[in-house]
Amino acid sequence: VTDQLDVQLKKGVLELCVLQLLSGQDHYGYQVATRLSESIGMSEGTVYPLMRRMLNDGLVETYLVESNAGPSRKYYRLTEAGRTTLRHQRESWRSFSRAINQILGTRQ
Amino acid sequence: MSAGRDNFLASLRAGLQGLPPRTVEEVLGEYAVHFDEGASANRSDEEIARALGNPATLAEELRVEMQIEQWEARRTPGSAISTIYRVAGLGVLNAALLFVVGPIVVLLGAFMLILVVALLWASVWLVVAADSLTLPGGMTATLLASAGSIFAAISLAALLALGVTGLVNALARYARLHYRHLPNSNRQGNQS
Repeated sequence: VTDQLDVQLKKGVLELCVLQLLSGQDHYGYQVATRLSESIGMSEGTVYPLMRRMLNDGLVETYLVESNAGPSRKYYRLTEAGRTTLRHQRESWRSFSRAINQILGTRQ
Repeated sequence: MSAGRDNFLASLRAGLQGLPPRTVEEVLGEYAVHFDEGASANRSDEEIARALGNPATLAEELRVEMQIEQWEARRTPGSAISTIYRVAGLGVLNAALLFVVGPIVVLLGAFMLILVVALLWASVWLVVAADSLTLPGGMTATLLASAGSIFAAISLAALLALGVTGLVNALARYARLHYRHLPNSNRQGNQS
């Protein structure tokens, strides 16, 4: 049961995490995958379908950068719509986590 | 090249069978690059494959995502049916939804469709048979009645289309929330 809750929670905030990550600087696919895997423990493979969807929704856009060794890298950067969505989702997350913390009686 | 990498890419390719070849190559290319990047970070192919997760589940998720894309780009009846079919095949809908609500919705839709056809038929019949009917109100009343059933049929059809669109959109949202592939882990590595 804990597992189930864990999965559901992560699903909910996955997009928020990607948006936040990209708001700092542009990343290429591999970087997004490994960073998210490290920080919230999702499988690296899931990032690609997610990026595809965010691209379709107009939250991110891509550009290619030649790399010295190997194939060129596909970088993702936030669009204006992506920034707006990030703002809204951060807002929602803050009020949600505050409410839950209050219920749980944790103080930080 | 190694077994971990080859197996992963082969399973992914098998799972994506039937999609446009260009799309398949595009997706496989992305994962191949992922392996290359991992290799230059000194990770073994087996380790990378494990971290990526189950390729069969991943392929399934990608297919649903692409079907939803297609539905969002072109909302045709055919695309609606494929979307419903794909989402149902994903195995995330619960049994009650699938076996109780599903048939009720289908029956309701079929009933509305029959009603639309019947109304259209009635409107034609009213005009064709007008002479032998001698309805009160004469020809004008008959024509008005005929036009009335045509408009009733059109509005009913529009209602049906709205209903189906709403339903498929809801299914798409539901499917996206319930992809099973998310958890990273070893738990998931050996299911197929």
